[in-house]
Amino acid sequence: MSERSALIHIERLEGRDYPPASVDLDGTTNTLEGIYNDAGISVEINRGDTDIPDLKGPNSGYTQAELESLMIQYRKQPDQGEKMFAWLVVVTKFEGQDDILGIMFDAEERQGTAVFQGNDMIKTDPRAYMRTSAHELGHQFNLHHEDGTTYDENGITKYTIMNQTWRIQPWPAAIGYKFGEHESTHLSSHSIKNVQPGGGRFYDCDNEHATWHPGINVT
Amino acid sequence: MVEDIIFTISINHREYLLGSPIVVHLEIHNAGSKSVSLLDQLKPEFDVVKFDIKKENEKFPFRPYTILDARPHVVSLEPGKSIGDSAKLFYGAQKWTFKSPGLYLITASYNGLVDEPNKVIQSNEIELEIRAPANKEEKEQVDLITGDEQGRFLLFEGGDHLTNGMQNLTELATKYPDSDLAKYANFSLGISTSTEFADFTKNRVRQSDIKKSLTHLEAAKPKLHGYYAKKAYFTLANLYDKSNDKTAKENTLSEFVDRFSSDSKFTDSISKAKNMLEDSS
Repeated sequence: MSERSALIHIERLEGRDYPPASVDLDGTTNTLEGIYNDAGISVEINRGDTDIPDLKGPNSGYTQAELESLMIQYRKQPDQGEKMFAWLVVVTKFEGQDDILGIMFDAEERQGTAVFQGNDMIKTDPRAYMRTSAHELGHQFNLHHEDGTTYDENGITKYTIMNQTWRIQPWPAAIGYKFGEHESTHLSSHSIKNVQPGGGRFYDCDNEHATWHPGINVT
Repeated sequence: MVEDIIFTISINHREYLLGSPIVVHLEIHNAGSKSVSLLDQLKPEFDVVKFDIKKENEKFPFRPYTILDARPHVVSLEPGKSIGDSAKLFYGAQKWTFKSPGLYLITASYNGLVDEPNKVIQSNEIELEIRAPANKEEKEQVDLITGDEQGRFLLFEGGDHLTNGMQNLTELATKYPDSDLAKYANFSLGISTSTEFADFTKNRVRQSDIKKSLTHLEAAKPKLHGYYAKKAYFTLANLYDKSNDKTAKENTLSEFVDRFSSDSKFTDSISKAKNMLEDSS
């Protein structure tokens, strides 16, 4: 069903692992490509050839400012026509806050997201690693926590990708490895400038998006 | 139960000069008779607390510059107890928040009750008057602080790659050391130099510069209040500790206790300072 396409470039600090290529839940195999393809964006995943030097050394945390300097140095967007470009970097920890799973650190441009593999949950549970990666990338495509919805599957309430992790109870049964109706509609049909990373600002979007939740600045 | 949870926001002064990096204090208080489980992640970056701002007929939400996705941090708030935090509202996804002089009305909502996840608690409304610069010199001070790089440097409290922003803040602190805005420039430059910085644009880690940090923070300290004062005093105490200057450390902590003991927002910090003083003696 995909008509839109995107290249997702994932980089990592040396010593870190890339997000898992797939995870199984309830007998279903889930991939980043599959999650986005089902929502209307055909994605190609590209993993960096060279690891980024871990300047502060193993187990160190990085601040917001340091992540921004990392993005300035390493985010290189290829010229690829109408194909969108999203960028995710795997870092060890967020400085001073061990409970952070992931971050979008430039809501102004929506170009920089990171997942913290040193976090205990990400480190030990590939399902969390996959979900957080899909979630952070969702922010880059201008999806918000309020866009997350729930659906019923075999009697269990499942939470779609953009829901905050703390809402997903019980874990992992309540993980929904899919975008819901609002999320998919946004990704597949809202104005491309309000979807593509580096386009409109976070929360700038179409009239339809404004009917789903407060805070949308209609452009 | 929701009725027993009181959400209060406040600022130190009603009026600020344009370009001031405004920080709002948040407090959740349990006025009921039973403990309540709730999330204590109050900074807007966690998306549990949301701010709305109104100026004249325009109402707009504050969008933080960063969105954090975290594991829940749940606390049991006992009757009569409070939790608090601070929120930097001056710069976000839409750059500078208070872009022009005038009266701003600020409210917030909290959505972190564990047993009632769909309940939203509204805060009080606070008034913030942003005043225009009064003369040519103040206009220059405002111009020196209101750039985008300065906004991000103040927000991050660092960022060596933001060279233009740092240069302007340094000029503000140097050219107008007694101005109201210089204290924020000195604060951010002092916090920045108190720690190392991994600058990926230069592929190196810049080490901390304790001497420079002490100079900036000591210059800023007497005029700071609220969040800024708290962070400045404790950073100074830690730097003196690292420098093995026990007297300066104790004097810093004692001054903090003397200045802010009567402020209820400082209750936890005052206890911490007193404990540090006891441990030091």
